[in-house]
Amino acid sequence: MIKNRIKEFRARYDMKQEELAKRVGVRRETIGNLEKGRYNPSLVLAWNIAKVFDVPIEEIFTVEE
Amino acid sequence: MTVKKFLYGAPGFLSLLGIIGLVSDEKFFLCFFASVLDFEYWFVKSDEMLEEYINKSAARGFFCGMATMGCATVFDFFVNNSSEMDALIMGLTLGWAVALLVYSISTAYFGFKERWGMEKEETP
Amino acid sequence: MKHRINYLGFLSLLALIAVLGWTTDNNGLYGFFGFVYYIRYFRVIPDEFFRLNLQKAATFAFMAEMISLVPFMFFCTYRYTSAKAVPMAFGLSFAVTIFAFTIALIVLEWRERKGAAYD
Repeated sequence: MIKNRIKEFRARYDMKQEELAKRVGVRRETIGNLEKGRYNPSLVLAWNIAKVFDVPIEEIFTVEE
Repeated sequence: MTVKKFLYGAPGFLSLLGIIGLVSDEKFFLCFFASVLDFEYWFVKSDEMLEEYINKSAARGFFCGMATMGCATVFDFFVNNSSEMDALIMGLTLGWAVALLVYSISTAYFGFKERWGMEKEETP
Repeated sequence: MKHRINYLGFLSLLALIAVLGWTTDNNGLYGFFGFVYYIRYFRVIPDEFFRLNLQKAATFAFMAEMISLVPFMFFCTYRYTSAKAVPMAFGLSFAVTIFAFTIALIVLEWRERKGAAYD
């Protein structure tokens, strides 16, 4: 299962789901489902999200056994 | 067996239609026996790559079938001057056949690509 | 953000078949007007989550089409003459396919909305 800290990073940057969705080219629903762990992103989307927050991917996404 | 795995092998049930070819004069039904090959998905170990290529192939089959159905119906009605019901039947039959054909070709292509990729890797 | 065309919207073109029913006074084809529902997808951004759900719904519908044809063909061959049985079975199978696709898509969209609560 892939865990993520998107919500935490959004709060840090005071960014709404809509804004992040727009910047990475997806819908707000996708970001919402990602945050709740109901959807595993593709590598490209994960990389784009990490780029928005200017951190390496592994700082936002971690794999839990 | 999971529902997903059951569905992946489900096109194999089409082979049952071959029985109609045996008991009636409609011999083209015998072609459906070829679908028995699809039951192999019940026995192969499923992983995310296999699931992805079956899903992709089925989705391609579905949309190509729908597109063919629409085009064939309109074409048959306007160009061949068939009645609306004959045109629709023609569209439905052709759409179904194209869906199955696209699915079969697509799964065969992905399967071939997968095996070919592995063979290449094994070569030093 | 670059605007991407959502090709699912083009499924609404099948509603044109209903126009054939209109011009030929065949009420049976009016059901195809239901495909107008898919016009709404031109306004939906086709991102990877949407495409994944679409693929799931289409796979389910495709398998339903393949499975349903078998009992329908046997039933229609038994019930009608062979000239009528084949088109009837294909028609019923098509109806099942569209129903399965639409229901699967609605359920997946509902789940998606449920999981995407606002912050």
